[in-house]
Amino acid sequence: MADMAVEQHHADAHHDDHHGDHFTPEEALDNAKFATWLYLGSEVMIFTGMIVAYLVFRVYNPEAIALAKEHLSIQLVSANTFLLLASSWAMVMGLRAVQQGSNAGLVRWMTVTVVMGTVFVALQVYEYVELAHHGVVLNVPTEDEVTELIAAGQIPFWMEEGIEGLQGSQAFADAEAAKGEALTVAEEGTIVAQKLGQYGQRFYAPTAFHGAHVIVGVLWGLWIMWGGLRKKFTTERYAAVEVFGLYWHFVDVVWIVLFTFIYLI
Amino acid sequence: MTDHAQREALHHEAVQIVAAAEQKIERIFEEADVAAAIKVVRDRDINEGVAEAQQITGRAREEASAIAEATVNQIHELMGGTGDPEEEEMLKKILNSALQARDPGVRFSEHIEHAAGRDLKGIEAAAFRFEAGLEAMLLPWLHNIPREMEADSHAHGHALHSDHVELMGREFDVPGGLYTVVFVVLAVVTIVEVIIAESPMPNAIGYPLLAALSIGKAVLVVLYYMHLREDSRIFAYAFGIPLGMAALISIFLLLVDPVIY
Repeated sequence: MADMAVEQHHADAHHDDHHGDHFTPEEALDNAKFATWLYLGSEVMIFTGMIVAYLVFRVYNPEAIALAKEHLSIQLVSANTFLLLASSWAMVMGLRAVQQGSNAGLVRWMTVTVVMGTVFVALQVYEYVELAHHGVVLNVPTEDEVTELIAAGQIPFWMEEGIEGLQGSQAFADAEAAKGEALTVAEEGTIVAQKLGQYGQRFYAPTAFHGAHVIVGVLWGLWIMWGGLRKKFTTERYAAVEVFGLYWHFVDVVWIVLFTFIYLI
Repeated sequence: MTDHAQREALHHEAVQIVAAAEQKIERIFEEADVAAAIKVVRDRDINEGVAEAQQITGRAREEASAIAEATVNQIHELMGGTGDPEEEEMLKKILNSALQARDPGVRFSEHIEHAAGRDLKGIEAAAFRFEAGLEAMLLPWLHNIPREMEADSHAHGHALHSDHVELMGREFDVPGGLYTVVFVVLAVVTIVEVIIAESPMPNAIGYPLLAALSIGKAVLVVLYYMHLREDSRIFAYAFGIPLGMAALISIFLLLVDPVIY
């Protein structure tokens, strides 16, 4: 559409309402939307890489998944999902308001969007803190590091829980078979810590990358609100709002996928 | 100088030549596949459709011009360029009549260009009207088309601004209209998803069901909140092609032996 709009622009260059390199509001909107869709297409690729990395791990490491999922709070994440869906609705209502000529309406709905986005990030941080507390971290420790950790004091509670959870598991049986004797606590702890670390790496990458998008969206949303407060938008000129809307809804779409494929499945 | 009877006979012949030319020109516009251009406007892309319409009408116009010009020459020859003012007057009238036959094509092309430049949604609405009244539109006496199109372009494209919703044969009003309905559906489906995930349903059924519901939710957001349902298809291509490629590479990565991981 953008290139078409450019062609149309040149074709109409002799018309009185076209001057120099300026586009009509419709052309500017179409150009901006086309560029945004192309950008979102590239985002699809990035998120897919991360999600597939998780899914491949998910398929081949059922014990790590079972271990980590005990600490994922579906209630918390469901609430967060609801918040993001509602924020998308608020966003589109804001766009509708500005298309009907109401900057005040846009500001009201954008406030809802931004607040919900902020709460989403806050809840995600809380979730991360909880998960890290339960051993779901980015680090994949070696056996020496785990031995040192155990020697330095008490065995961490999450490692103890993990060992309990993995008793009789394939992972422990394989390690025992390879060694030819029973595993020590340090060896069992290493298996647990490594599984949680490997999970953490694949879990945090897509969810944190998504969280970063929400943070950018909140800041962008504040900027749109500022534009609304200055009555910058009209029924003809609202490309900035629509482009932000596309971004925000895309962030929502990514979360819809992450919620199902990481938390529910 | 020709005598009266001879002039009458020439006049009669000239009128017949013009009538035949007019018929030919009319057939050219009838045969011009304007419907194809309108279909492009509706199915593919408005600008592409306009370009196609311009091409079609341009071609028809050229053919019509050639016929009109040939007719003019024929009549000039017939009348012999005698310098008789009465004959000149008659000649002018006959020529005008031949040239007028070209007008509908010119107007059609201009209407489409004008509407496309001003309001992309308007042309889409106008295209539907054109299709219905295609034959009539090509006749020269339909001068009110541009006005109708303007009215249409203002009235169309704001269905999402209405609080009135038509859903599964039922009509009702809800603040936010279709946007709110979509939100309610998304929220309900999310609750259903959580129930399925927490239920003892076997994974072989539960997982595909959850994946389908998730994709359904994503599609709803893309179609209704991101307006891909009504926007130009080129946006859908810009997003859909990478998505398709990503889906293929995902399937590949999930199917191959992950031994190198």
